[in-house]
Amino acid sequence: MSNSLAKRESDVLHETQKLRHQLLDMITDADLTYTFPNSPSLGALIRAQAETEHTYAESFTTFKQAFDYRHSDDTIETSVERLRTWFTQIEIDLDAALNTLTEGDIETKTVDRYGWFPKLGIQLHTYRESILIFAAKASIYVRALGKNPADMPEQFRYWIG
Amino acid sequence: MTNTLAVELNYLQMTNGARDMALGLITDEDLRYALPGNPALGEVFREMGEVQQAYLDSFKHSKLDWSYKHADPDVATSKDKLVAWFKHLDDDMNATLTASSEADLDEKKIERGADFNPTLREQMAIYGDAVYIFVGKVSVYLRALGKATDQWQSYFG
Repeated sequence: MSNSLAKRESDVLHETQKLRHQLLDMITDADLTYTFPNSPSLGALIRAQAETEHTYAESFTTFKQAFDYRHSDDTIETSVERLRTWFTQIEIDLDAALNTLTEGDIETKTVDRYGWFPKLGIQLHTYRESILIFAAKASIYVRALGKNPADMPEQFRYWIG
Repeated sequence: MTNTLAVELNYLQMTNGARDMALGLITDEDLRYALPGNPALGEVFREMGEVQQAYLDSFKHSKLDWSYKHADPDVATSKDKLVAWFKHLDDDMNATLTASSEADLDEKKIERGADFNPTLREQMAIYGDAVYIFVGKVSVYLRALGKATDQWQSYFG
């Protein structure tokens, strides 16, 4: 780790990213089609999170974030293993982007979020918040699918409930 | 109150604002709505209030105790009661934290068990995480109820 932001935040960031993998451990491809009224399917929810995370990872290189990235293949939301591979790639990309930042970048650069210009530390904080919000949403689906909360991975159960 | 503490407190107040935004979108009837395998929406709010009370007490007494449960079961079915409860909790939390010092932020430790003793600053951040987790759960209910406004979705999906 090459800068103060990566050194300070990597551990908690990686712990938080584990929640997505723990979620994927709990569900099957068939579960991805589950939905509530007026709501996306579980697979679409996870896809949307990965698309959001893709824009976060890019934002540490481009210093812009538009939230307009969409995966080109709609079937991505029907496969647990493909979603898992995608999240893993995002983690690699984000770590690489964070590790190329200089102390000067961390001190002075902001991300253009179209009306809001957070510094990079705040941007990383909001990325982590997005994962917590996502995991909480997904937990409602997991319970609705009849998964036993006692069988949830300990971290997922302890953090998200 | 110091500038750094003011920044942390401002962030915490903004976070609690997300909860208030959700409350503003629903009715007493909505509080009875439950998704399969999950508690009623009102119970999700009640649990959040109990969590906030536990964090508030931890800011006061340097120890986190999850045992608090609201005595009035009707609080989970009344928007007015929830609004009043959260205002009381927010006022108490703001007063407690405003009375803290800059040194408290990084020197005061909170005993959470299992040898995890975060600083007051870290405990405030973890409380913020708890609110966002609550917001994520409520967001699923709001969508299912058809109550997730464009503004809500732009903030929380």
